[in-house]
Amino acid sequence: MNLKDVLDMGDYGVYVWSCYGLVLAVLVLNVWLGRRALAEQVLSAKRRLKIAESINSESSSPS
Amino acid sequence: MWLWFHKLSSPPYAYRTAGLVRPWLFWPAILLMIVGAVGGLVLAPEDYQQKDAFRIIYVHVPSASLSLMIYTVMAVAAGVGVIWRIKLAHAVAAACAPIGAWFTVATLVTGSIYGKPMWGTWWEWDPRLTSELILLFLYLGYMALRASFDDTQRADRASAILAIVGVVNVPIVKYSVVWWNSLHQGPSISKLAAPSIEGSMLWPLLVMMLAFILYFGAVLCDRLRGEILRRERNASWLSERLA
Repeated sequence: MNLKDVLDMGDYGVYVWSCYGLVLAVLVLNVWLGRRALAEQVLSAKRRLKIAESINSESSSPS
Repeated sequence: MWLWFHKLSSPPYAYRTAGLVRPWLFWPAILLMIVGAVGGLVLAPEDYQQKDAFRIIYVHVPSASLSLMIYTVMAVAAGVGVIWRIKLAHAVAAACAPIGAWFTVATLVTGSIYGKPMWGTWWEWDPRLTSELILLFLYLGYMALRASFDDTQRADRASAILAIVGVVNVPIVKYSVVWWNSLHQGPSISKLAAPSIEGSMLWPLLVMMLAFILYFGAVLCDRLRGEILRRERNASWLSERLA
């Protein structure tokens, strides 16, 4: 089987490759969405911790 | 065993474990996907009837089996959350839903593309296709129901009931081709005694299915960690873990 045969897929190339492309897109998208959701939560948790820290240090410092 | 389960249900432990396990699932999944794709696209011989179009099964079947597997995991996790009141189980169920929905979309679209040259139509209101479409609506309904509550505990309970009730659709999807006259072909690999698929065509499919399961585990780890952080926003362990 040469490269042309693999790309043509016996005249079914459009159907076969569009399916593989679509599933690849879903696989990449799911990784990206999962990483993005995690990164957003890490960022917002760090922000909350920073605010809590600054409130604590303000309340503990002598006025 | 029970002690391990008890330990795993602790959010800080689960957060840490999911982070450690993820690369051990992700990279083998990628490796197996490459092996499975080469096996399916190049090494497997063409089908005598469907010719090269049959190679779509190497992405369609793993997507379809994953869409059913993820729903089952989601329903079991939701059930565990309701019965034993384990918050982490609800987090697992919530993390499963978007991944499952995407794989159901992939199943429906690749099935439709596969159907055009094989059946001469993009869509038919066939038992297998219709029940898979209902599966997508169940995932979307689950996510919409969760989003409609501000209170996480109420969202957990309500969405868990939907997930548990909806699991009845899983065997309907699986056995629809056996129970009813269907345009969709019958099972090829569930008959362990005599699979109706030749060995050189079967191994890339099994490799791809294993790769998709590992991939799901890796993506679930990320989603679960995000979900744990969202729920544990005021927990004291966060300061140590994120420092």
